Amino acid sequence: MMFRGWRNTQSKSVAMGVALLLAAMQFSGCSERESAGGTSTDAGIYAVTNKTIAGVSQKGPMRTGSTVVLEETDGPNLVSTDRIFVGTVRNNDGEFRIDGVSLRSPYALLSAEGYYKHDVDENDDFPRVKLNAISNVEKRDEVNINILTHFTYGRILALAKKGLDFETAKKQADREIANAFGFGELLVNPEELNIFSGSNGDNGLLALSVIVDNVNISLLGNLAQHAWLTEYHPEFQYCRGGCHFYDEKGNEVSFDESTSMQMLLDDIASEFAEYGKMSGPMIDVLAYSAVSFLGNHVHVSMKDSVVDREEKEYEKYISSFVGYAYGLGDCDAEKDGVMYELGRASESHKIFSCETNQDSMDFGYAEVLACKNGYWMVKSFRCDTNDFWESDEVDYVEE
Amino acid sequence: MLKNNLNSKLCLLLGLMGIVLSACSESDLGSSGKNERNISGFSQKGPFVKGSKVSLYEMDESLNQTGVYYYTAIDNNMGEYHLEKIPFTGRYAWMQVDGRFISELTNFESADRITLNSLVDLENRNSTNINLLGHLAFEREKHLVRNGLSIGDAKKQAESEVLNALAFGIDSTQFDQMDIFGETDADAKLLAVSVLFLLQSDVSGMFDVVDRMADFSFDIGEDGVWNNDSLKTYLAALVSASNYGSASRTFFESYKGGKVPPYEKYLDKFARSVPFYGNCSEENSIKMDVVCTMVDTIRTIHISSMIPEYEKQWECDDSMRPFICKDSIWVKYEGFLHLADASSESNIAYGEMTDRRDGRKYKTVELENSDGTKETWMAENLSYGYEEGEVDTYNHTPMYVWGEAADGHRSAQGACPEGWHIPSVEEWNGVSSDGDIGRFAENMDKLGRICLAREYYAYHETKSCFQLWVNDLSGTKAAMVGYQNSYKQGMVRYDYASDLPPKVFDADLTSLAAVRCVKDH
Repeated sequence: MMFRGWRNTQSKSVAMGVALLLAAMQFSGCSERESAGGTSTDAGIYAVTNKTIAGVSQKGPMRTGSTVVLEETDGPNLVSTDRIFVGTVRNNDGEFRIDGVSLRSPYALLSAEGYYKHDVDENDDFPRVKLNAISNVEKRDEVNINILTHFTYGRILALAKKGLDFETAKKQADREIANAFGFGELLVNPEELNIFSGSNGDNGLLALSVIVDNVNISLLGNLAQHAWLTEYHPEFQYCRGGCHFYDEKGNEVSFDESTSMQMLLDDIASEFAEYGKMSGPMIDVLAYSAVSFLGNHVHVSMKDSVVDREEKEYEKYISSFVGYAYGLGDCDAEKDGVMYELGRASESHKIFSCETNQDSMDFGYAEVLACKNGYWMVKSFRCDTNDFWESDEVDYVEE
Repeated sequence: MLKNNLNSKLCLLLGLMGIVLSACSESDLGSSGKNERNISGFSQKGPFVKGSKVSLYEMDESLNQTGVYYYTAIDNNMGEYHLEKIPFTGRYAWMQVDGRFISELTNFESADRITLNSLVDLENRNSTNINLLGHLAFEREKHLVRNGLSIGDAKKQAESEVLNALAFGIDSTQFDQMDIFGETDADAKLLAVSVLFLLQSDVSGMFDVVDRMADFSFDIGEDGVWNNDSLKTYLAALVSASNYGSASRTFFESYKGGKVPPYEKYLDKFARSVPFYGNCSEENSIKMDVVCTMVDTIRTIHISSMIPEYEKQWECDDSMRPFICKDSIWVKYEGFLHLADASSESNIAYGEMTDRRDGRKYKTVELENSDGTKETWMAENLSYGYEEGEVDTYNHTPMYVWGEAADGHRSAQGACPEGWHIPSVEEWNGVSSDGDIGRFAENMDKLGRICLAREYYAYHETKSCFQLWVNDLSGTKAAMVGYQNSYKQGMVRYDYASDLPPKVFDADLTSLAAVRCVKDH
C-alpha cells in the first residue's frame, strides 16, 4: 500500500499525457520541415564543435540499423532547438556513433529507436523500442542510452523546468532513480552504464533490464499487471491470455511485445518525471517479474558471441530490488533463514509459519520468500521436515 | 528512360497525390518561393510502403551534419517521396528512409522496418533515389571523405568498389539514379543486389537482411573490399539454390506492368565470382563433372568448413542448382537433354545413333543390368514427331501420350526408330537394378535427366522429374515408371537425393511421359 494514496489521484493524467504524446508522433502525409529557422548560419558560440559522440543503446542491445538522434538544446531550459544530429547503430551490440556534432549548448537530448535483443530469453524475436537520454556532452565522448537514462530523462527535464540547473537536476534524478529500485547510491550517471560491462552499476542496470524484459502483458496478464493496466490505462480491457486494446477512435489495435515494453518504460518514466519515485502498482509489476528469477541462475544473452557472464553479480541486484520492493530490506546475515509469506510487493508481509499458514499449503508445501545465503529466494518449504524442498536447489541454467 | 518511367508512375498516382498536396497547401502558403526546392525520388529496398519516413539531413563538404533536417512520409506503395518546397540551401545531404517495404521475392510487406541511407549531392538534381546500392556505399563514402577525398571523388570510388565487390562490373550510372522498376542495365544491377540480399531470408522477418547489409557496408567501409567470404559463399550458393530468386521476375512484371531487365545475369556473375566454385579450368571440367557428385561436394564443403551456422538451412535436394565448368566458364547445370548441353561426357562413354526418319542424332549409353548383362539405352529423350526445339511446356522436353509412344500397342517398337523399342518393364527393372541403389544411381547419372520443370514455385517444387513410358507387354494397359506424386496422380519425379528408384505403375492412357528407346538385341 506504499504509494496507493497519492497514486490514484494523479496517475490517469500522466497516462493520458503519454498516450497523447505517442499519438502526436504519428506522421502526417505532408512534408514537414524542421530546421534551425535560419540560425544555422549564425555564428553562435559553440559549446561543442565537430565532436564524435559514441555509445551503446540498450534495452537489450539494439540491432544494427537502429537510429540514434541527438538534439541540440537552447541551454539551461533544455528545450530543443530542432537542430539534430543523427547516427546509426553499427552492430548488434548496440554500438552507435554520431560524427561531426556541433552544439551551442552542452546539454543534448538523445533518443535511440530500433529492434533489440532480449536479455533473458531463448526467444529470438526482436521487439522494438525507443529510449531517451539527456546528457552534458561537453566533457563526454561516450553517452549510453538505456532504460535508466530513459527513466531519468523526463525527471531531469521536469526539475529543470522548476528552475534547477542541469547538473543539480541530473544529480537529484540519478539519486532518485537509484533509490527507487533500492540500489542506494549505486547508479550514478546512468549514461555511463553498459549491460555488457561488469561494474556494480552495470550489474544493477542489467538486473533491471532482466526484470523489465520479463514483463510482457501482451502474452499473459497477471494480477500485478492487471492493477497497473486498470490504473494507468483504463482504456484497455483487462484480459488473460489475449487482450483487446482500442485506440481513441475505438478501433482495436494490435498489442505486441514492442507496444507492451514501450508502454511499461514510458509509464515508469512519466511517473518518475512527475514524482521522482515509483508507485505501488508499478513496483508490483516489476516485483512480480523479479520474484520469478529468485533462486534461478538466469542465462543472460550477452554480446553476439553469447558470452555467459561468469559471475552472476547482477542477481544480487535482483535480490536487492525484491527486498526493497517487499519492504524487507537486503537479505543480510541477520535475516538469514527468515521466511515471509509470498504475496504482492505492495502488501504487508508477515513472517511465514507452518502453524498460521496451513490454509495456503498444498500437501504440506508452501511457497515462501526466504533469505538464504545473502539472497532473497522463492522456495518451497516443507512443514513436515521443517526444511526447504531440496530439488529446488538445482540451478536452472538455460543452454 | 528513367524519366519516362517516373512519368508513368506519376500518372498512376496523380489522384492520390492531389489529395496529399491539397492537405499541405495551407501550411505552404506562408513560405516565400525563393530558395525553396522540391526534392523527390523513390525509396526502394523493395518499394517502401506508404507512411514510411524519408529524412534529409543537411551536411557540409566535410560531411559534418549542420543540424538542419527535413522529413516527409512516403506517398504511395511505390516508395515515392516528395519533399515539397523545402528551404534547403545546402548541397550535400544524408538521406534516410525508415519503414516497411514490399519484398521483391514474396510480394509481402516486410514485418519489420529497415533503414536505408544514402549520401547525395543535390547541386544539379532534384530527383534522387534511396536504394540498396547507395546504402552499401554509404559507410565507404564517409570513410573516404574523412580521409581527405572530395565528396564527388569519394562517391565515384565507393560506387565502383561496391560494384566490384559484387562482380557486377563498372557502371557510369550513379547509384541514386538507379531504380529497381527501371529497365536499363544499371537498373538490372540494382534489382540483382536487392534480390541477392533478400535470398532465403525469413519470409517476412528482415533481421537476416539487415545483418547482411550491415556486414557489407561496414566491411567495405574500411578498405573498399568486402572480405566476408563466408557470407559471399552463402549468398552465392543461395543464388544457385533459388534459381536466381526467380519469383521476383514474375512479381516485378506484374507489379510494374512492364519489362524487367535481365538482372539474373548479375546474380550469375556474382555467384561465379565467389571462390566457392573454384577456378573454372580444364582440370575442374573433369573433376566437377558429374552433377550429383558435385551437389554432394558443395554440401560437404559448405557444412564442414565454410559456414556452419547455416547448416540447418541447407539441404541437398533437387532445388540445388549446381554450376558446371564447361569451356572454361561456369554455367548452370540443369541436366542434359541435348548434345550441346553441359554434360557428363568426359567420364562416361557415350555413343551416338541417328534416327533415319528425321535425321536427328541421340546420345546413347550402355547400362549394366543387375545380372551383369548390358543394354544400350538412349541417353536423351526421343523427339520424333516434334518440331526441332519444340517441347512440352511443363516438362521442357518432348512428351508423348501412350498412344503415340507405344503406337497403340501395335508393336514393341512404338515411336522408336528402326532397331529400337520402348523399354519393357523387365528391362527397366534390370537397369534400376532391383533395389541395388549404387548401381541404380550410376545408371541414372548416365541416363541424364528425363525431364525438367524450370518453373520455380515457392519451396521444394519439382525441378527435375522422371516420367518415362515402359511397356508391360500386356497389350492392354499403359505402364509408366516414376514416383507417384501424392499431390497429382500421374505426375512423377525423380529426385537425386531420394533413396528409392522410381517404380513402375499403371498409368492413365492420356498421361504424358518421355520416351527413351532401348536397342533391340
